[in-house]
Amino acid sequence: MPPISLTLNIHQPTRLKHYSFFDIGNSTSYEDESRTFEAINQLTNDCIQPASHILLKRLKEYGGDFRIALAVSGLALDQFQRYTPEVLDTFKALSDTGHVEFLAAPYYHSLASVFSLQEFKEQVLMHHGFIQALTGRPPTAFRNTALIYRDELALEVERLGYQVMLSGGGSRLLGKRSPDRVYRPTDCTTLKLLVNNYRLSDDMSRRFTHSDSPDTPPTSAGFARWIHQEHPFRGGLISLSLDLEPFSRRNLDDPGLFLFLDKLPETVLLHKGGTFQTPSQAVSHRASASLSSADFIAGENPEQDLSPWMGNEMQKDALNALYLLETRIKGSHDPSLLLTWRILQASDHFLFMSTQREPAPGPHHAANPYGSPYDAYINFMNIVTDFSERIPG
Amino acid sequence: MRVLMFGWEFPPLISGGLGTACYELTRTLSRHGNKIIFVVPRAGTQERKSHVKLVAAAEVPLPYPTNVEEFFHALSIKPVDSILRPYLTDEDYPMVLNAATGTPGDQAPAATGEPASPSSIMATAEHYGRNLMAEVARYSEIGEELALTETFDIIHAHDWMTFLAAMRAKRASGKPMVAHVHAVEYDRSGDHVNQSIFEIEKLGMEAADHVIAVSHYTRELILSQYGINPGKVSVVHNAVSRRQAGKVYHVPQSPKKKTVLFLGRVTSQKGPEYFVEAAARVLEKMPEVTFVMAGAGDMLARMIERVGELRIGTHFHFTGFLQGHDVERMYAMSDLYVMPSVSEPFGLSPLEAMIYDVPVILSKQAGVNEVLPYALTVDFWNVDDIANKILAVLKYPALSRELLRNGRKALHSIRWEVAAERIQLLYNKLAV
Repeated sequence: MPPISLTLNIHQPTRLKHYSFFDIGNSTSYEDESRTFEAINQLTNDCIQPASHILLKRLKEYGGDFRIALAVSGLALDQFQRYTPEVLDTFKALSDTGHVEFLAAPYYHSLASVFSLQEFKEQVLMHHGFIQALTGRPPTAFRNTALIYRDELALEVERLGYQVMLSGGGSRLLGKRSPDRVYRPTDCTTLKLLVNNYRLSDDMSRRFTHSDSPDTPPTSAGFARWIHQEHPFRGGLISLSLDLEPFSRRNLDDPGLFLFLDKLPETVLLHKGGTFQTPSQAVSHRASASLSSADFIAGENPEQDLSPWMGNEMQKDALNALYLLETRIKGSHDPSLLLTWRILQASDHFLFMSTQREPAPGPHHAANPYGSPYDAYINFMNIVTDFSERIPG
Repeated sequence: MRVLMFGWEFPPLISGGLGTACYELTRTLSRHGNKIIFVVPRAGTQERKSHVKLVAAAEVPLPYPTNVEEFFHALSIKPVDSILRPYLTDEDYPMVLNAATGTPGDQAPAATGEPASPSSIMATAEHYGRNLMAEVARYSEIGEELALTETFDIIHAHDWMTFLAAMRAKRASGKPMVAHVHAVEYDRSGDHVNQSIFEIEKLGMEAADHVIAVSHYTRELILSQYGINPGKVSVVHNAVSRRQAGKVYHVPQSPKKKTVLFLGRVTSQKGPEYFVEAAARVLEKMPEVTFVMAGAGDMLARMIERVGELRIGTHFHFTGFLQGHDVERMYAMSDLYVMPSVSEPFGLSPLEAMIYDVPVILSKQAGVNEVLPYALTVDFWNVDDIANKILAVLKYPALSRELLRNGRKALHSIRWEVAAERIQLLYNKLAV
């Protein structure tokens, strides 16, 4: 069995108010603070704190044999700081074990990498700074929102100084290659690419979040056995990505995830070759081939593309309307306008507008307060209309 | 299979979804090799002792081009002299009776605006029932007569006014009966249910060997309000066909001036007052929009008054009852169709609007939502939200485009052929 590189993702979007057309020009408050607080509070108490407690115990117990990566959005970090600052202490403690790697990411969990490289860089640097201040170490591995990748972006990530980038896969990027290898993005000289094993990651989160699928919740023993059966040999590296947020919505009496995390090191280490590696440890692997995709790849739907966020006219329109404001926003030199603009960039707002028939059980599905994708679009556009009227120039 | 069908209207005279559904179902069922004896009330039909006039297929004016010959070969239409018509109410009955018999009534005709049957002036029909119930009872006699004179394997009746006739046909022939429910009294009258109509609906559904509901919404009402055995109530959704929409009008829509349409009976069931109130809210933000209320009904006068009170008359037009090409032209002129129904068993007109590439806003109470996975819906009572969504459709073009795209996708699978196949399976099961 090859080494496992497990990334746990933590993110919460800011909840938006119900904002009617009649509010345009009359109300400048877009955020539903009490619902945001509620979500953060729940995420903290039902999920992050208990899960971290278990992880800390096992990380210490197993020393360097058990390692994980954490990808926490800046938006979530801001909200923890504001509402449940104890989470930041928890993250510090996790980092202090020396076995948890914090990944760099666009601060606002945005799709800026698709629309504005300049904005993308600014958000990555912001996040980089926050993580460095929190853990005392600069992050060396980068995970884009939704594991978005394309060649041009990889070059940018390399220029920013990262050694490893996590990405989505699919046949457009991989061809017939396995995702469970370490690759080099074409044109890059030092950056290595870890391709998320979508099938395994999706299966794992599905079993955790859909109680009707068989074998739910999965046991770590079953999980380890399964990986071992599919990958009996040692070569490569299996990159897995799991969103923590859905577990905060599960019944607390159901200890599925927590048991899973608790037993994970024991059961994986039992198998021959079973080890854990963080993304940056992948640097030690030789890149098996170079990969290339001039088009955008993403990692959270079976098609491994941007369609969950940009699959329909409403989503494209809303994103265009928002990113069109960049020049005016930045020209205004008004930090509060800039902050609002960035909060609105959270990818969740666009995912809520998706009309794909069977939307992938997205990470933040239950955070969706809207009755329909149209409601999500209308609310967002009313807000953007009001917002754009407030920007000078 | 030979089907004795008690239906409503026939092109070109169609006043609502019920007539359209009857026409489309006979058309598609006849393709399955069924022979349909279609019984329809028609005021002023030459009175014979039997109340029945057999009309050869050739004598029926073809509503559509002749490539449907096969259909008319399979169909025998039997107009029965009666002034019953879809959506007729107790209150409207005296007016309709007066119009049909030429007797001046005590009251001025109410402004229902629904067209009197063209041949009605010719009738000397003192034999019509003195009220709606009497006329329904009189009409039911036809059931027994047909049972004795016609051969058929199954009886299929559409909505309550025909249930008694179907029950008599069943009793006289011993053939199985299907009660097809397009609406129940609860839809039409809300809390003011007419007890006699309710009773007839209940009797008809109890007597029927099987009940077809046009939506799950309607099926729920049938189970909860009428206590019908769930095992014999199934759902067959209505549909829409491209051909039904006829030729598509291309009315140049001015990009600046938007038109928002309400099309349907102006009765409390359809929620016209919410449309008027929402219009006033929209005009506060977009004064250049035109609203049109197409249709007639007992709430029309009140709506006209309300529009006056709100001082929005220059932006709000009433067309009265429309049919045929006028309906098509109306859709083609519109940028948005709004259906704020309080209760809507199915709701065909939104599908028709979609065929004309008009986006729609639908009441959450509409059965048609069951076949439209992505519809833009509202609570009919939430005037502010209706206004908010009207403004959004008019202001954000991507929303219109997305609604139309999802609508077109859904229309592909909403076909009368699918409905007919399901009914055929039911026939086969019942007629063994």
